[in-house]
Amino acid sequence: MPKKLIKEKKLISNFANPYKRILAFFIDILILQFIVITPFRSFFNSLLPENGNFSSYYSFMQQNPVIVDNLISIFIAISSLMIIYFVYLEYKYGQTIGKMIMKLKIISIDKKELGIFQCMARNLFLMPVFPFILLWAIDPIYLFVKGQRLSEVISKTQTIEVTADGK
Amino acid sequence: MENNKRKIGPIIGFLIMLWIFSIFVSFFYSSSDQTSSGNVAVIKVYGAITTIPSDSYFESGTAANNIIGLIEKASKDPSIKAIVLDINSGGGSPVASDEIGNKISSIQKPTVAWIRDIGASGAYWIASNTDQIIANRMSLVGSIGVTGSYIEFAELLNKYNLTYRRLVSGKYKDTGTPFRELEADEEELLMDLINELHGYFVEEVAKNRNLSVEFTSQIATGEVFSGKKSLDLGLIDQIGGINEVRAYLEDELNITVAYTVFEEQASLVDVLRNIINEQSFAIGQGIGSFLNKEQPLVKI
Repeated sequence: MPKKLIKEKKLISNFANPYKRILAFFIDILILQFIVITPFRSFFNSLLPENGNFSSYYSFMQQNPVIVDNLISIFIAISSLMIIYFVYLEYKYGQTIGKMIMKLKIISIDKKELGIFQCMARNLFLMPVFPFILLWAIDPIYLFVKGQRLSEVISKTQTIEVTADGK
Repeated sequence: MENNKRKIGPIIGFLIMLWIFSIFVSFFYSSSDQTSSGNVAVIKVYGAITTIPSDSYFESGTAANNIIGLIEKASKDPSIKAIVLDINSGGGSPVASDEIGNKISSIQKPTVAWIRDIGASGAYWIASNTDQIIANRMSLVGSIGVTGSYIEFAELLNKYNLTYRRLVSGKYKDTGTPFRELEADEEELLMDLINELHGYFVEEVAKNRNLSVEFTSQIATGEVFSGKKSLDLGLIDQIGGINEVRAYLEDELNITVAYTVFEEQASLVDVLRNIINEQSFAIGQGIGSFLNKEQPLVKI
């Protein structure tokens, strides 16, 4: 690892607790449930069979590949809206609502100011398409092993806990 | 803490805008022609059956052009496994009914006619072309017959000394005009035509329902039958409703049925025209109401 980065990493002493981060993420997802996902609910209800269980939905999907394509298209639209939420709030305030509640914030490792592309790069895992979908498995493993998601390593950002003086 | 308080307003504003944008995007998907939801197309056959759509604000019905287009679209859609005609109509144009019936017969996918309150005359003609007819026990079905009745104003014109000036090149050119009396030979002419159409109707029903022409002729008195009686006569296949339609299709095709309504997408022009028609009607109604306002007998 480059010496400069090792020196900068040593300065970051208050890495966010992974469990706090997970909780913050769930709070954000809960908010997005109301803001972004609920408007699509009636459309999902019309697309899928009524009173279905996993098995009936699965067999329905197998029989209707066109509907699967449409669902993927909708999921991409929903993910894009979710990315807007994360990117805007992290870029503007360094925090999403969940992170504000859990007293966490995002910082840039190598620059003072957090850039928009950094915010986008760290949230691309929300896209339900290859290769970003691989991050659904890789990011959590990286987080618990190295204290940082792979997306954060790539975007050179880090989630830290906000200290008592708000910094 | 102060910092957080300052953020609340803009954040709430952002969330509201994101919510509105999400609604807009979901509306786009809901109204998009590309998103086909479900695997069984439901096509409505409501109201009077005509060959072409009516432009009148006051008339709503089923146009053969539209229905045939929707049937064609459903038959070509690979995600659609069957077509259900949701019928609630007392009939209409024989040509339109025949055109729709022929279209149904030509497609390869299973078709079901689901008769609601009424599936009579031309609507029954259409239904008879499907693979399965399901109606409520209280539905009104049948009315196998043809009518050309009209109101004759000849005596009314005479009463008010109005004259129908007849200028025609052929003897029967204005046969059936309501402004003069129908002659005996003209009535015979029209009845021949009606009987011919009636014959076509009987043949069509007999062929589609595997009934003898003789039996079908006997019941083709124009009478409407209840769903229950229609079942006994062989005019329908099953008593039931939407659940029975679902059960039939799931049994026939071994699929999990998900309905999707196929209907004409209103263009922006149609929406604007309907709004203008509605507003114009309301304005006219208001003006008429003002002009017809009852005046008191005595004014002080």
